[in-house]
Amino acid sequence: MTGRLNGFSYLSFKALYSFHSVRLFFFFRLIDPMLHYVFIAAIASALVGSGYLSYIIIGNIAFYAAQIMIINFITMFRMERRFGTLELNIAAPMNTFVVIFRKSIVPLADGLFVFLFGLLIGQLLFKVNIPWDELGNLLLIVLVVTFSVLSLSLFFACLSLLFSNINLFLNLVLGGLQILCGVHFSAHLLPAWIESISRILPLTHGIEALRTLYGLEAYNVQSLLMKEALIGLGYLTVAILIVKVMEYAARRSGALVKSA
Amino acid sequence: METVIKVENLARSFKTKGQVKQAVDGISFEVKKGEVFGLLGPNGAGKTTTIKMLTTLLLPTEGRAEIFGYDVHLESHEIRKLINFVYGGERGVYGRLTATEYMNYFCTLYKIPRKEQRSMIAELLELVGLTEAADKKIHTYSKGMIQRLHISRCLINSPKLLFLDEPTIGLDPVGARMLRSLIQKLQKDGITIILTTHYMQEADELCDRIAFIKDGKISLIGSAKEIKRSSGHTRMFEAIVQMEEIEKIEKEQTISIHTMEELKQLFYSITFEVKMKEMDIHQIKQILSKYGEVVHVIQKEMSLEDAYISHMKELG
Ligand SMILES: Nc1ncnc2c1ncn2[C@@H]1O[C@H](COP(=O)(O)OP(=O)(O)O)[C@@H](O)[C@H]1O
Ligand SMILES: [Mg+2]
Repeated sequence: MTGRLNGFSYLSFKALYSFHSVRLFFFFRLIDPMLHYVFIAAIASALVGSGYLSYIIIGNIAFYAAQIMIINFITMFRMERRFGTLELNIAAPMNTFVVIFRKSIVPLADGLFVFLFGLLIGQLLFKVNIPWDELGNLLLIVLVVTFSVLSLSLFFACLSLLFSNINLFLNLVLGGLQILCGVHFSAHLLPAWIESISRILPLTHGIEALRTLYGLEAYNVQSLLMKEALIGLGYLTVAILIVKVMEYAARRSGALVKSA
Repeated sequence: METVIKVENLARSFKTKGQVKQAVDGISFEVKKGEVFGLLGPNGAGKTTTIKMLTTLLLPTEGRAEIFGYDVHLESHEIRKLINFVYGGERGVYGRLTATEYMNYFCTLYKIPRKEQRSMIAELLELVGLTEAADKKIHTYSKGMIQRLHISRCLINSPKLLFLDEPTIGLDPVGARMLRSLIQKLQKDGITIILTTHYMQEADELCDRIAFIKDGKISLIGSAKEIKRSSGHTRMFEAIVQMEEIEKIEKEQTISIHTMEELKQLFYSITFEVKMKEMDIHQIKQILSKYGEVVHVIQKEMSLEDAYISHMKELG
């Protein structure tokens, strides 16, 4: 079973993923995130001083990993449309959600790598020191956040069956996550009704837990993790529930057979 | 004979920018087991839309269609197990994969047990003559090779019914010939085939029955023979005429010119249809000689293409 899972996921990666060579991997996964963090750090220290640096770097490491995962995953479905292979995938007897899920394995691993590598860069470049004595909890947070972001990505992948070009929407959501999830400043600073939106998005609680572990804030890590995991489960459930509806609606509107 | 496809008043419209486009407009037909059924018509006639509905990827807006007795609207899951399809052109492949990887991918999608995959893939690639190229990346393939790969992909689930939408489009003559003999091989194995094509000769060669479709409507169904006969094959002629001006003959009321080709200076080969039923070669010679020196006239065997052109002209 795992062999098959790997085979299909690996072939999807090879066929559709944004990078597929060591050279591109080196650039997109090692150089590009570093440039991103340096850029953010430069702006942050210029605007609010270097005391705030660790705070904003942590938020951005989580956000950057989430962004990588969501964009790369959704791009796979755009490519399917461009290649004219989406309908071939849908027409096959394998359950559509299973197809989507198997395609998410590589973006998931990618996001996980970017997250962990980001924490390492944080330490090396910005002296945001990894709390080694809490390594177990740190890894747990990374896993839970990656899971909740994956669930959100799966939800979008299901939507992309019906909405053949969800890029605009996706960009809005990524922008939204950046503002609402406490990436640059605490979600508590938001007006209450906006914060209530933050509280049903992935990342928000995960970033708070992460900062707590780094000693930048003082929350209850366990309860934050629980909430982050529940939010992930919520999106996963919705994704599983809507996939059939989206497929049916796409057959109805003609979106399934439309190329991007 | 078992009925494989039953279509009744099937229609599909699309709404784009407030306008409603009727892509398929109430078509009906049946296809029996083992038949090769051709859908012929100009671009935009509704062929692809029809196929997408029958392959359950697009819902009809009106009417109904049954595949093996299953409803395309409600029982798509059952239908998809029994059919497969190929769209012409270079779409539908992952260029970065090799043919073996591509086949592997679809074997998994079609839940072929892992143990059987390897031998099945080797067999199917052999069938379409891609064994040598099996480990080359698909983006290096010619159009003909891509089509043959599609054929091998669509056989993964041993379908009883295949939809081939312009499978020979853009292929060179050799590639098209290979594909046609492949289609004939599939037919011999008892697979029912729905084929759309622009090439009349191809349809004539492959199809047991043909439907002409235009503007979403089917206007004629029958075997190639019946269609040729119904179009009145005695009215097609071919002539070689030496003329100064070709504009005048184009205005001649008693004939309708299908093709005109300059063989060498002032010598034209013309194929045309006479509009009145009773006219012999002698009368025709007289008419043509008004416009130039008639080198020769013969009565043509009606080809499917002639029948098609004449039929489409009638439809206007
Ligand atoms: N998804 C769609 N949205 C809007 N119009 C469409 C769509 N698909 C097809 N059409 C229109 O329906 C008509 C029939 O198209 P099609 O079935 O592709 O014709 P054919 O395959 O015979 O060339 C065309 O006018 C085409 O523009
Ligand atoms: Mg077409």
